[in-house]
Amino acid sequence: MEPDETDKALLGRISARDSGALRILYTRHNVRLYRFLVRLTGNEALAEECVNETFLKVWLKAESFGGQSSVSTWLFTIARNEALSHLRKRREAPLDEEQAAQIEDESDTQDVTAAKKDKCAVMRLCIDKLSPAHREIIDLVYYQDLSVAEVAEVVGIPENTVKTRMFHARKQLSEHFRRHGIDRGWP
Amino acid sequence: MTDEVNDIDSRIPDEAELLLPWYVSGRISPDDKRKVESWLTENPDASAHLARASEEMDLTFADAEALGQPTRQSFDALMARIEPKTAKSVASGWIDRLWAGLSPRYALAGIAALFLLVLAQGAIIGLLTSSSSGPAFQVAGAETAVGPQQKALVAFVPGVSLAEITSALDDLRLRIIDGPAPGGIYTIAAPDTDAGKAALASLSANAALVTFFSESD
Repeated sequence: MEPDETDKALLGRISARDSGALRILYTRHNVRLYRFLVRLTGNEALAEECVNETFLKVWLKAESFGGQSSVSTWLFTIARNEALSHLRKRREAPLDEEQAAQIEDESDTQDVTAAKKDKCAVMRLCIDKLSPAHREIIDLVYYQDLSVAEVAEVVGIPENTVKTRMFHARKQLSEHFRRHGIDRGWP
Repeated sequence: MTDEVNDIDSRIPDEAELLLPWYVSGRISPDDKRKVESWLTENPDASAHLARASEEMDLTFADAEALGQPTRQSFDALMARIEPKTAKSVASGWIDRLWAGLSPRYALAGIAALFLLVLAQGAIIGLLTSSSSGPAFQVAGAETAVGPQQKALVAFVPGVSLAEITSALDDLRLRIIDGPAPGGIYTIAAPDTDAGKAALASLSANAALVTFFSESD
C-alpha cells in the first residue's frame, strides 16, 4: 500500500473489489461524514447508518465517480442524499426546499442558564436551534472546510445561494446568541 | 423556490461580506480574497465582522469535535455487508489463508510467527518514529511532554500503514510515548483534559485502526 495513495487511486482499487482500499477510505473520511450527518439529522444512530450506506454505495458504484470534483465532496453528496432519503421516509422536514431554511427548532433541549457559562455550549444550543439547512451550511463551511463551489455541489444549489444562505445562517446564529444573553453586536 | 426572502434583515450585503466565512477558513479564490481584503480596509466595522466569523468557526469546530464518531460495531457491520470474509479483518486475509493450510500441530508455531510479525511492525514503527521530529508522534525518551497526561495501551490493526497511524494520531493530537511492548502494544499519551479524554475515546472507537485499547495509569 502506498502511504500517500490518493482517494482517487483508492476508488480505482475499490472498483476492482479491493476491500482493503475501502477500509482506508473509510478510515480517512468516516468521522467527518458522521459529524456532518449528526448535524444534519440530529440523530446519532441515523448518522451512523447513513455513513455505512454511503460507503456501501461507494463499494458498489466506485466506478461512477466522475472525477470532476474531489472524492470527499462526492462522499458528502452521497451521504447527504442518504440522510435526506431517510428523513423523507420518516416524514421529517425536507431539506432541499428553500422554505426549510426559515423553519427553526424552537424547543429548548438543554439548560440554557448553565450553558451561558460556556460559549461553546451556547454555540451548541444555537446551532441546534437553526433550521436544518442553516445547520448544514454552517457545518460544511466552518467545520468541513468546503469552498463555495464545493458546498454548491454537495447541497445542489447555485453558488450565489450558498453565499446568501451562509450569511443568513450566521445572522440567525447571532440572533440566537442574543436570546441566550450574548450580544455579538450584529445584526 | 424563493431565496431567503423572509430574512430577518432585507439589506443586501456586500459581496465581500458574504465571503467572510471562506476568507476565515482559507477556502477562497485569490480574486475573492483580494475583494474581501479591500472591503476590510475600507469598512470601519470590518474587523468586528472578521472577528465574529473567526469566532464562529472556532466554536463550530470545537462543538463538532465533541460529536463523536461511528462505533466499532458499525464498521464491522459495514465490512460484513461488503464481503463476509472481511468482517474479521481485511488485512488478516492472508493470515486466514495461512491458517487454513496449517495442521493443529503447527498452529502453535504459527502463533509464534504471528507474534514475531506484530513485533516487527512495532519495531518498524518505533524505528521510524524515533527519527520523527513532529510534536504529535514521539517515542519514549522524547522529553517534550509538559503538564499532566492520561495514558492508554493500544495495538494497531496489522497491515495498517505508518502513514495512516501517524495521520490519525496527529488529527487527535495524541503521542506514542512508549512501545512496542510484547504483543505490539504501544503507550499513547494525551493531555489530562476533557479534550484529551475525548481524543482517546475516538482512537478507541476507530475499528479500522485499533485492535486493542485499554486505559492505563
